[in-house]
This record gives sequence, structure tokens and C-alpha cells, in this order.
Amino acid sequence: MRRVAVIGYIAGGKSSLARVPAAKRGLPYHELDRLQITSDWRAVPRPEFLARHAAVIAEPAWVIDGIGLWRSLSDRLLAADAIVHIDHPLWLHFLWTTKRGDGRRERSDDPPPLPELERIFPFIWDYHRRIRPRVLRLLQQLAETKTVHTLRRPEELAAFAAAWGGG
Amino acid sequence: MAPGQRIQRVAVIGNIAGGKSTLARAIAARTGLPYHELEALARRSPRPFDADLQTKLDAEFQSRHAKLIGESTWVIDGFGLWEAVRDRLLAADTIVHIDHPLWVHFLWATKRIDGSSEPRGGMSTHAELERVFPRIWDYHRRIRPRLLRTLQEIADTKTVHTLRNPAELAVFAAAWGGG
Repeated sequence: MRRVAVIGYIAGGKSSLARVPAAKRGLPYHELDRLQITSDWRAVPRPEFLARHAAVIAEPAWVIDGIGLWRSLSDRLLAADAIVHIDHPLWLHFLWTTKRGDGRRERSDDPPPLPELERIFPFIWDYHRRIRPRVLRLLQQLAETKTVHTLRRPEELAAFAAAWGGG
Repeated sequence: MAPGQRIQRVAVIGNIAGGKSTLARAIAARTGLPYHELEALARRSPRPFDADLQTKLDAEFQSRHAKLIGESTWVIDGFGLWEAVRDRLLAADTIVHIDHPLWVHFLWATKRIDGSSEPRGGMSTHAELERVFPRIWDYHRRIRPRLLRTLQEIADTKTVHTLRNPAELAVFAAAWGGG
């Protein structure tokens, strides 16, 4: 496993999980938000983002966590050899978003703080209705040629992280 | 509600934390109809695994509910068991269905629990959200589709107001409070 895509929506545990194989196996770790969003929560211009993203997925080894634009997502999943899809019940993503740090950044290179709930909740709902069905269809198409792990509950996430960390 | 129409039985329904109670109280105050909150009528079993006890409590709820909707005037807000919802909608002359995008219900539930005057530390706020969020989701997936079908079936014989976002709710509430 040299190219690992960890996908799923906000506050599902993607980053925590993605850091495990990156640390254990020495794979370079990339956070998609960092490629796509500036430190003051503005979008990086689309061509610039896509160019940065293309350069990363062309590398021989990576762990990338995040969704990004649809085009970047499909390119990345095609390039990956393993895909981890975190797909908790929707309410858990809402719940975990409320538990997220209130904009506190401990280090200057921490990911940007989340915007307030009024702005982030509609994004979660929009992802669930518009993007997730496309993700599921694409994963189904890729299932024969890739290793796809779907984690549907926090317990499955924990078990998978433990197994991955131990290997 | 159509001018000249006599409003006597109003059912206010919708998912958790959508503003049902506030609106139902405004309607009751404006029309002078007696207001009933359904939560007060339902009883959760104190022993969750005692199926016999829950069956008995459900039967008691059904009989109290049946008596209530048999009365000539009411504004009822809440949900209760599905059989009760159906009976109530059939008995109502006016139905107000609050049906915001799902994220609004999650957001308002968070604000309600966060802003509650109950003393609580950070942990219990989240314990409360952990209890409420799965219910909002369950309602959305299991109950709402049945409700929409039922509303469609009876739409010809009732006045049905569907409020699809906070702005529509605010306009409707203003019309009721101001008139």
C-alpha cells in the first residue's frame, strides 16, 4: 500500500486515521484542506489547486486525506491503490462538528479553524445529498481494481485504526 | 388559513427543534383555542427493557390522545406514536408542517441545548446532543417519508401549510401574531 486516499466528510475522523499509516509506514502525509484552503478560509484558485494536487498524486507514495473538487477526487481515487472511506451515519458528522475545537489553533501550521456552525452545517447536508451518492457510485466502479475499506461506525474506525497502526 | 374558514383543530408537526412549540403557542394565543403539548402526554418507560410496561404506557398514551383529539377544539404540537399522528391529522382541519432543511434542525437543537439555562458542563451538553441527534436523523429517514405520503393523501380535505425554511416560518408566525 503506497498510495492511500482517505475520504469522507468533515469531522468523521479522517485526519486522525490518515496520520496512522503515514507515521507507521513512513508515507508522506497530505491534508487536502491545506492544498485547497488558505489560512483565512478562502479557496485557493481552482487551476492552482488542481496543479498542486496533480503533482502530489503523481508521486509514488502518499496518504491524502480530504475530498476537494470532484475532479481532483476522481483523479486521486484512480491513482490510489487503497481507499479508506469513512461513512458514519450523518448525525455523527453533525455531532462531531459541534465537538471540534472552537477555532483554537495550537500551532501556526494547524489546519484552519472551522467556520461557525451556521456555515458548516449546510455544507455537511449538501455533501450528504449531492456528493456522497456520486462518491458511492465511483467507489462501486473502482471496487474490483482497488482495495476499498468502508468504515460505517466509530467502532469500525477504531478497529481499523488499531489494525493499521499495529501492522 | 383561508379567510372565513372556521379553524377549530390545528395540528403542528415536524422534526425536533424546528420551532413547533413556539408557533403552536402563537396560534393558540391568536385563535383562543386550547393548546396541548404532546410531550406531556407520552411516557417513556423508566425501565427501557420492560416491553410489557412500555406497551401499557403506549396504550395509555393512545387512549389519552384519542380522548384529546375527540374534543371540538385544540392546537396540538408534537409527534407521539405514528398511529396517533395519523389519527390526529385525520381529525384536524388545519395542519402546519414545519419542514426545514435537515441541517436547520441539527443547528437549532445545538443552539437550544447550548443556550439552555440548565447548569451543565461541556460534557453534559454533548451527552444531550448525542441523545437528540440520532432522533433527528431517525425521524428524517423513517417518519418523514410516511408523513409526506399521508399529507399527500389527505391534502384535498384539509388546509395544509408547509413551511420549508426559517424565513417561511417567520412570515407565517408574523401573520399569526400580528393579525
